[in-house]
Amino acid sequence: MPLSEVTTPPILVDGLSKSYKKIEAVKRVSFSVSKGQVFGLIGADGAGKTSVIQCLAGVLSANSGSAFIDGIDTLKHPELIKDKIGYMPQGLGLNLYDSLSVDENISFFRDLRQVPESTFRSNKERLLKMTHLDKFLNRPAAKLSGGMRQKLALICTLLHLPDILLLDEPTTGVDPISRREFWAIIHDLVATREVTVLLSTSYMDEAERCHQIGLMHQGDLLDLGTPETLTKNLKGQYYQISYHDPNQLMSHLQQWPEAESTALFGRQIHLHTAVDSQQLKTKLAQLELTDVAFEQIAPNLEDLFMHHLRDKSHAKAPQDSNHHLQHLVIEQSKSGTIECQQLSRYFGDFVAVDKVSFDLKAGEILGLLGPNGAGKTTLIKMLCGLLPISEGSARVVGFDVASEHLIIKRHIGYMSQQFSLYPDLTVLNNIKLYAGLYGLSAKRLKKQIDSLGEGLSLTPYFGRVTSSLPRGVRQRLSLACALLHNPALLILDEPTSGVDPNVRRQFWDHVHYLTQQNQISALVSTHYMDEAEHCDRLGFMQNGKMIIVDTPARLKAQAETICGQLLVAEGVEYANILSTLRTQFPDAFLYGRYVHWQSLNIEEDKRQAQKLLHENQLEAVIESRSLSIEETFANYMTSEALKHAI
Amino acid sequence: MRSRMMAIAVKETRQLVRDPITIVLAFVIPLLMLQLFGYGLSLDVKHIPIVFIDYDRSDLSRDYINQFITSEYFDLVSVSTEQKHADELIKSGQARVIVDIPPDFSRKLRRREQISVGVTVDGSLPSHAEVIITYLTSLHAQFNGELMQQTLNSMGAGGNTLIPVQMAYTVWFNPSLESINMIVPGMLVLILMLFPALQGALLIAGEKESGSIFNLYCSPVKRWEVLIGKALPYVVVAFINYLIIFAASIIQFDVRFIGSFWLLALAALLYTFCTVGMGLFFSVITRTQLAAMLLTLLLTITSAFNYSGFLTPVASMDTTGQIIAHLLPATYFMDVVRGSYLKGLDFHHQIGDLSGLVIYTAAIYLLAWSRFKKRIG
Repeated sequence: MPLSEVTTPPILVDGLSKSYKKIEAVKRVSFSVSKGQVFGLIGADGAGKTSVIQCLAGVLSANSGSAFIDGIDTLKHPELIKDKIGYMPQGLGLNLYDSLSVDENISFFRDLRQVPESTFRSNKERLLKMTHLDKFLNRPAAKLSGGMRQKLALICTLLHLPDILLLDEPTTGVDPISRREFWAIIHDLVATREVTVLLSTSYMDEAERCHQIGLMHQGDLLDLGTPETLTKNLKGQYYQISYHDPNQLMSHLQQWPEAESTALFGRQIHLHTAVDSQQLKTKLAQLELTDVAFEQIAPNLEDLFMHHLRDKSHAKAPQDSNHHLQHLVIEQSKSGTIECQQLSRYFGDFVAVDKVSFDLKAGEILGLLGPNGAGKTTLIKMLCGLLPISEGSARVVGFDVASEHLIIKRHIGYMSQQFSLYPDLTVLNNIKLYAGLYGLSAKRLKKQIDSLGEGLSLTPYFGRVTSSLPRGVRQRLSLACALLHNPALLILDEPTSGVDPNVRRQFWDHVHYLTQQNQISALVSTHYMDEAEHCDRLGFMQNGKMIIVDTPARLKAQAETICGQLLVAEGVEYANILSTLRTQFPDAFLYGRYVHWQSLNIEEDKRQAQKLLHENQLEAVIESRSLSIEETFANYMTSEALKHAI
Repeated sequence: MRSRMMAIAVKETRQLVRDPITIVLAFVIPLLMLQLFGYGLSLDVKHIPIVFIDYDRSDLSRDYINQFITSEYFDLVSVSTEQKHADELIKSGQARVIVDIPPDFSRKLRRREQISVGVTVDGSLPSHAEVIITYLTSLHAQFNGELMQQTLNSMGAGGNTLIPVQMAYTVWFNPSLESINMIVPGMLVLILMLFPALQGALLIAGEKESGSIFNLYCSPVKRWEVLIGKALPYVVVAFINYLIIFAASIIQFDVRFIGSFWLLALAALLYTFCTVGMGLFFSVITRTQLAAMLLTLLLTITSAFNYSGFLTPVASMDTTGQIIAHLLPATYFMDVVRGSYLKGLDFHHQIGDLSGLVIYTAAIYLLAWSRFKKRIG
């Protein structure tokens, strides 16, 4: 093989810029991906990720710079690279043909790519097995769940055995279980075939699964490197502080000049500061607070993002001063409780919600997690009084959902990332429109405009047209519209999907303030662990049933007791480490460059694994780790033993 | 394994047969349209409702009225004595002609004095009104002629000397002069313009909307393979449609067909290939299905209705009209269709129009091909 081919990276982007009219979507972005690597472009919606990927796929022209696939300029010779790449566009299986069955979709892609019969047969079989779609060959694509669609789309992308994969937000809208399977397939391909993968995501928790990441924000590539080194370079200390009144402590800390940034995560405060733990201890003692405790934590990617955004703006990010929040007063007349008992809903023979029972206290945030089709939406619709119940009973804000559903609607506020504001109306007109829909009196409206305008920092934007506003402001406007009628209960449906970390933090600061200071309660439906982290309690749903409702800490503890703690093996030859470890621990799987498996007997298993690797001349560091929320959730979904233990 | 082109054709066929809306659009609506126009759009002016105001009420005035209402062209609504009543009838649309017979009608005629009969015609449909006036004039002339004959007879002149030159005419191609012989074949041309083009318009814009267009953009498939692969199933659908409409025109509407079945079938195949291609072209240059459909409606059916020679012969249009007419494939096919149905022209006579269709088809596919970029934006 000539030397030049050895050194040419499969993917190379050099000074790439792309503008749409006045908007610079991509600003002089450069990076390369070497063979067998998974590279993650991480950033919010509108960061420019899709444009970069489309330039590489040869479907978008650039203003300047160049993009290469295997050394071929994709901007000049787009047709030459199309045999080499597999490209999956954004959206849940949007490239599939709905009326065609799984098998027909696959055949179409075979013909389109002219895949030779021998390759096709073995590859199809393997991919179907990996994705567990082999049982659904005759099902039309329209009748697949979101996760299944995404897996079928992946099969169609991989059918011609491309060496380079370009995947645009492949896991957006996919439930955590399907997401894990999806990643397992990607990592398996990388390990067995040395496939090179470029993918984009708006979720920070996915970054760890990549070998290299690039952080994108408004067209700029902010930082580049491995997930570990990037966060290691962060200056200062990160602490997690707990106190019974976190909002009070927050306002103290925000006035402290040494505090770089503060953010609320549930009832915990994350503090970024230059001072060491001794100085922090002194500071907290000065505040004369009892029962305050803190521990040092490792910064995560969200912290890294915040660091860069602050650097760019040379100013304190808006969420660092939350004084305006004191104006946020919601005078709800009811207590935002839910008492749900044996609630069921049938659609014909199909049981969408199956005897679900749980409680929500005033001022509490409860997160609902579950795969697509677990019954979350049906449950929420029943609780809002939008869908009649079949059996059981539920009281929401003190009213019965079966007989008093009309009153319930007046006491709940609904918000989702997709929830539409009218983009051509001004901020004030949007507020007035919603006020009209809720039948607010002119006097009440004026009062609400004053308090929400100040409390959510919307007043300076009142005259602006909604579509011209930054995303963060639009999100606050959505929240204001949901709060106009003084609801006691907020229903949040993936409220921060696809937004910047600073916008997301600010949003949750507001929600935490509302729940803790105003005793509003919130029910959050989400697929994302970034959002689940903010909940006081989590409810895991599957097949219409509420499997368990508890605090994240207790859920983790129980999963670790029954299914074991996490063991992580880190070594250079991770593909070989995986195959070796699998002989002894069949459940081991690849997680980025790490091999993960769960163990009930960590010390013994650690020793055994070390011995096994040593015998095979492999080197790895093996550590135990506590389970993440996502892994905890996956345990509850898949482990029969855990389900029996409940 | 299928070729890429066939893979696309098979995929389109599967989508087509599984989508009830496409089936309805492909077969049901065209047939419905044929029914509506076939029965509804008649250019024959017959059974015109007529009102007489007879102030005279004599035998002569009754003879005069009978002259009109015994013809198949006029239907008597009423014989009134009040102007106001008659005016109401024409205003409400119950009558379209008022004939006003003055009180001294018979008296003056007997004295051989000249007299005027007042005629009011509803002119809201000018072409109808013109035809009505022609009918009235000729029936009126007939009455005058009979009166003169009687007068001459009574003066002892006798014989048929009044109208010395008689005209003997023959109508070619549509001897019964029924407009259905012209409307139904015309509808064949319009329907095969509109529906294949509409379906073609959805093909690429639809994939742009759903995002599946990236499958084609990012694969090594050639542009012509996409265009022809997508067109084929819809040409088949349109051709089946042609056969259905052709059968309906002969069996249901009893239209005269004296030409060659095979020649017309060949022309129809060419024409549908061309109209699907027009839709594809609009689909290539637009981003949404809605835009593609609106463009198709505007540029195919509206222009074809007016300029293809459906109602007005191309030869009687002004220069601009004639230029537009020759820019439409419908004009060439209209000639072939009328020539086959009514005139029974052979291949030799139709070669000009057929080559027009061939050139047009080639041009539209070339245009679509050159504008179809495997890129966004």
